[in-house]
Amino acid sequence: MTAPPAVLFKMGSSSSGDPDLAFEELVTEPRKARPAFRLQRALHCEPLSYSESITGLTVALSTTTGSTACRTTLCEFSRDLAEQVLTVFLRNRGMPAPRVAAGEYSWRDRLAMIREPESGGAEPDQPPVSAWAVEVAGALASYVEGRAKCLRVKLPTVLVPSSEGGVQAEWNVGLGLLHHLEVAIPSDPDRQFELLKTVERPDGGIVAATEFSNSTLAEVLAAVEKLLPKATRA
Amino acid sequence: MTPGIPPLGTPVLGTENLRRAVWPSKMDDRGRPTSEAFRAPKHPDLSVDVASLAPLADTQGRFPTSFIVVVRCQVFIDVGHEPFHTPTAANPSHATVPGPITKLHRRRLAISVHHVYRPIPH
Repeated sequence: MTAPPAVLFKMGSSSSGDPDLAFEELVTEPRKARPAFRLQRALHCEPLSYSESITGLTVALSTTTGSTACRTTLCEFSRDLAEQVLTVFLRNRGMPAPRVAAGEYSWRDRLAMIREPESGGAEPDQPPVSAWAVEVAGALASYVEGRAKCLRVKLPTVLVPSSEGGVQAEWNVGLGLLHHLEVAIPSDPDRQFELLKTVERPDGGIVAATEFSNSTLAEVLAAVEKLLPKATRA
Repeated sequence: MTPGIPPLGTPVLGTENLRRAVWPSKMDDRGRPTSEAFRAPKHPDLSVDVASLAPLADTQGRFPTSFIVVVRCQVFIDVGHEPFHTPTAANPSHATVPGPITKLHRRRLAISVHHVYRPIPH
């Protein structure tokens, strides 16, 4: 059963906005809705992982029958609610918040992982990302976040370590036609930025593409400014 | 030559599906690979598995902490990087995509991915 995400989130939110309290409400008043009741039953199990799906978030939990561990898909929640509940659940058991997939990271999390490869952000054989590239990536992401706030739009930045010791920053806007912008931040200040702008169809086709291999920071910021008005309202 | 395993250096058919292991930090917020997923550190060529020659579990077993993405071989051919078989004793399904691949073509590969498998939970 999947209810509209907005309704589910409201159901799991406390009046004070405290995630702990929201969690308590979910557990103590299971009859409010079936998803909450199913979650309460399932919380007797240890969470194994959770993953996004089209309708929200699929929570997978492990149970042990004899020596055999089995994995069941519990139910689908809105992503915000499921993350909130799982975080509280794990914290109550002294476990760190789950970090399963890249999709759950903010740009700050991603930057921290790029900065500290031992935390799991770097691929084996990946050259270390330069401090300069990390600094520029952080400044760029922070700039875009600030501009998006000013314009009251959503434009999350995805930061990815590049295979050349730099950082790749990218943004996606649109649900039908997707406007994609990616910037390769080089590993040292003597090299130029690489810029790629594409307009993509949902079926994976590229309608338009522009690639610049030698761009300045000013050109990068101009490309971001052109993308901002296309972003959805926050 | 082992029966069923194509000889070293023969082109992979366009109709094949190719699997590539992608480190989680190279996935985007929508759970899709970024263009960096199609660039290998320290090497211009890319390693892939030919799906028809090994079960998914084999690829996942070798890369348990990575996402496994699947792209049709024809997409690589269309962007001018024809994969060829490079089977090894440890991995008979191994193939190589000659590189380097430009940023735009890597993006095209990334958006052509038709299946994404999450890392194996541990």
